[in-house]
Amino acid sequence: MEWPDITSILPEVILAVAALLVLLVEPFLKKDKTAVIALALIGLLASAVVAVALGGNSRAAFSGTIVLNSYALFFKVLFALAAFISILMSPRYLEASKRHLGEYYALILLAVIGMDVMAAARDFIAFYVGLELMAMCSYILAGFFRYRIRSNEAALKYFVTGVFASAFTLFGISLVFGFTGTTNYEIISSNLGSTGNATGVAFATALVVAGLGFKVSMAPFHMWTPDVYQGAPTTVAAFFSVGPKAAGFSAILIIFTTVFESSSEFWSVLFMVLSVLTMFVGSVMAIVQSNMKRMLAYSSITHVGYLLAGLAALGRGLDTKAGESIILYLAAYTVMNLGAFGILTYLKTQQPEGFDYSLKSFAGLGRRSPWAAILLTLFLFSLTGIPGTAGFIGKFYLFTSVVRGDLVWLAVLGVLFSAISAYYYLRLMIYMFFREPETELTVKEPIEGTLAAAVALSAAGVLFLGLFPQWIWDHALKAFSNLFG
Amino acid sequence: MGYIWLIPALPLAAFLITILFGKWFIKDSAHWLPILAMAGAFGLSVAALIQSWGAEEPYVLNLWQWFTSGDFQIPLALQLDQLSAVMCTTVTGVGLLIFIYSKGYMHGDPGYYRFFAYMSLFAFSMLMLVLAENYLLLYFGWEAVGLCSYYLIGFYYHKPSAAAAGKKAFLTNRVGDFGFGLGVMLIWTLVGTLSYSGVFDAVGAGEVSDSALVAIALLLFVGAMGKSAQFPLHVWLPDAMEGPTPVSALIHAATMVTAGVYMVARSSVIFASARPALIVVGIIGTFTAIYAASIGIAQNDIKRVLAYSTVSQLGYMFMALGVGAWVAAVFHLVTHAFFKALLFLGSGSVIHAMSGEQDMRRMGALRGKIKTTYWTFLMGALALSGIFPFAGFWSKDEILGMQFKGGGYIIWIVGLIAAFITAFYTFRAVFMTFWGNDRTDPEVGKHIHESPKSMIIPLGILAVLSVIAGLVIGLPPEGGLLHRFLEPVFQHANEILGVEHHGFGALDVVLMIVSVLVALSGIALAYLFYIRRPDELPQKAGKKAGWLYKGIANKWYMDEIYNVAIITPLVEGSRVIYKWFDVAVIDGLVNLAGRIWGGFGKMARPFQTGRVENYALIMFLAVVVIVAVVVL
Repeated sequence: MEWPDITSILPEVILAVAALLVLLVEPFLKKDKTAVIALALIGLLASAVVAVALGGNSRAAFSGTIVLNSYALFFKVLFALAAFISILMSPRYLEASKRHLGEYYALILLAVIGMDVMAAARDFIAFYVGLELMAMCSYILAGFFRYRIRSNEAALKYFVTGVFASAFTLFGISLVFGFTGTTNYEIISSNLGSTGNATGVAFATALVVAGLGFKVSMAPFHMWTPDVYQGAPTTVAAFFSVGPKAAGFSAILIIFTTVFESSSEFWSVLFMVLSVLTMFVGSVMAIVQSNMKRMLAYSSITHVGYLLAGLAALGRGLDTKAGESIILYLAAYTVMNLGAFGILTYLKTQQPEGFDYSLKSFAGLGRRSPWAAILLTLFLFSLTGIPGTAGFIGKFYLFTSVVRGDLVWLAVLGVLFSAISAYYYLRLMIYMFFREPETELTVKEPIEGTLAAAVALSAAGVLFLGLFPQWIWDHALKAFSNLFG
Repeated sequence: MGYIWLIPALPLAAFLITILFGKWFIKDSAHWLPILAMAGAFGLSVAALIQSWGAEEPYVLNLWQWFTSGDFQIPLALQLDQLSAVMCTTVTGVGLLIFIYSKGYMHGDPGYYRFFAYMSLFAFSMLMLVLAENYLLLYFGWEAVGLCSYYLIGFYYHKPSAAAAGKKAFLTNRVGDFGFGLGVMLIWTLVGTLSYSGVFDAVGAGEVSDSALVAIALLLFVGAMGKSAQFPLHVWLPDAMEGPTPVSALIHAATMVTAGVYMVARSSVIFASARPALIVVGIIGTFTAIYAASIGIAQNDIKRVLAYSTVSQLGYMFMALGVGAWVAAVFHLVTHAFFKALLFLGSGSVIHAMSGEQDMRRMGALRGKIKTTYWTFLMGALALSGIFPFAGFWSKDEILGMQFKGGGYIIWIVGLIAAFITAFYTFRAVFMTFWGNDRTDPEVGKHIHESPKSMIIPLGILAVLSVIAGLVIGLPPEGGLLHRFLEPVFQHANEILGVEHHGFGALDVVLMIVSVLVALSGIALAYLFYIRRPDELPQKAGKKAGWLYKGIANKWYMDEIYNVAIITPLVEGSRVIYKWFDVAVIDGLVNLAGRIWGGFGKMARPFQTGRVENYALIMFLAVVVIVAVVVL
């Protein structure tokens, strides 16, 4: 019997081994979970390093269903980074919440495997397996605080709506299979256009848009997002806000530029409409939130709206560099959003009882813990898109690509919605620096331990991408030039 | 010469470390790092100065490309040519001395570390300004020095007058910066690049129409007027004296205010190709020179005298630029940096000795009590008055001489009158402060003491420079060391203008004698007024020429004119607009928008029921709608 070549899934194998080791070691540990945390972090680091080492030449395995090329590599490193930062910010928070269990880390690692597969799959079956692996881990993570009603609610809502969305995706995939008789992207791509059933193809496209749109919380499939972010542990929400979104976009980019290439005119228009809707819903709802976790949930929806504008440009078939811009935006979004959630985590860790994520509880933060306030300001600046930060670079490239796609009106709308976003981001700063707290909170502990490392890493990422964007842009160019490899 | 990035980087590092750790860790030793950084930057500037000797082309150092998108590039590139080398050396040299001086002057101030941090930030910004390779980076430095100036004017922010002065400086500069920003944008639109070499090549090749060039040059000059305090945007500089004296010396006399002069000299190719704009530059400069000098006569605050004198001397520099005497302008910039920094630091030493007293009417007879301060101050005063062979004489005389030889007799005469007034008010200050009767408050008089060494040594060095700088770099006039050194920078502009080079001749000697006589008579008049008959002559003169004196004493009512012509209409107009337009229309609109937005929120909210079956239903309906659109 011939063994399959596993070199191209070696990063995932490493993650799986790390996850299993975490589960194995966990029962032998008492209170101190350092060993499993270290295992998880080393696993992530090793998988990223191996991916970089192997990513130099493109390779495919399992009859071309999984590839390892610069595109998959980009996302693998991004997912590993997102998980790495999320894990770094977790221990103290979980301890403060009295639910510090080793399987938490194993679940994150397993979710990363799912995301990796989504970005590396070149076949619907492999893709779907990755999607479900990621989704299952997410459902459990959302309900990780299983003694809390909110956390349970989040898990259940996520699960029910998620299954519903998966059904759409599967329906779409089965239609495509019906038209072409294969699940391989490349073969579908060359055959689907010639089926002569444009309506059917559009139908399938719409179903896959709906299914994947759920994962990236695109309106009107976004409704789970605020409830889940609010109910789930904050560190999990942080991970959800970047990991699955980026994974969803990694799959959308590859599926829509290959499988549904023939219906690109249709999905370009569809994404235009959904982009406007998503930006609109995200900003309207973000403004009225008083809970900052929910605000960040809606703000993340607005960011998805910007990304969808990029997708609309991508479908125009012009030299827009929209795909590259989306990749770059995802990287920028990952570091800045994780950073913002990191500060929320810090505040919650400081005061498990007193801090309720409400706008009011941020009053006077600038004096109480200046570092947290300054760093949160940096992340909010970046989310707003102030020059010098990653967010500015992301928006600049993204909206430029939208303009290049002859969608000036959409770019203008995007910029307008960014201007609106300044309102709900800057409002938080006003509370931090210019409002007196109603009840004087005495906590003054500085950010420390792994949480400090997580926040510092995010801040460094925000500044690095903001000041030296050429590096990431070069990598984005390289990644997108090599979809099949 | 790849090390030139270190010149701005050293002060930047000093700034970052001092601002981050100053409050808790460095505290009273906050001066060490900035002084060392400045010394390092100075050493490197001197090296760069020597290395750039005779270079035909500027040396360009590309540090990094922020990002590119199509044609749009934002490069961080530094350029070193002779002009930037001269500027760097002046800024870091004078800066170093002032930093050392500040160690003594600011001693014990609660904001000690803050002071040195901001000063370092200023040094960084100013060096970026002069080392920039393109207009964008120049603009960055331009705004950054403005910001530092704002911080430092308002250094004693608990004093309302200091806070107000900071605001005034900031707002006045906004007007200028707005013009400057428009000018830069216009360059970008017309030429498609912002790098100096690209712009100047395009201008030299005649790619830009004459009228556009005039527009660009005038817009850039508006920026220079704001930063270099030219009439009518000069009003902020005298008020800026609210800042600590070393700040006045470094920022509001020696360096930042000369940024406008530097920028016009840097853009010499543009200005040379836009003759009408050049004439405007000359006229504004000349008018400012005499206008500000006249106000200097009636000021009683020792720092304010010097402030108006700075405005007036900057006017001389623009007067030179106006006839394409680029090198003469830079020459005067350099010597002025020396002697004006000296005068400010000297006045600081006086204020220090007088326990904070700045009013010259409560001084007098100090020359015996603070001897070193007196002698150094006197050197500065002689240089400012243009007495042979002090530094100011050579540079000012060269400017006036070039006006005369170029046929600008009216400008020459106005400049000469301004020189006369300059000598008068300078020695009025010297006599009122150091000579005559002792009018000090007895309480203050007991504590008069010479300043510490860290303040005296910089004074001494600057005094030496004020004496010899002109002789070393400016001799013979129009052909001195500085001229030969800067030749490659201005070659192109001089070719466009067709500036003739005059040899040194008998005419120069005559002109020199005339200007020395004028200066001497100014001093003599001051002597007559304030030493011989101090009790009657000033009053008599004040009465005889009542309107003149009143005008001068009230700064020609410029602040009032601004109040009546701009600020009051603005405020009143705003009030009306506020009442009728803002409250009714804008607020109405905003409230409407808010209500609409809130309405949207309300409309959207019921969908966000929190019920999972509703979520699923909406997802399903959405898919149905999309499919329906496809199928139908």
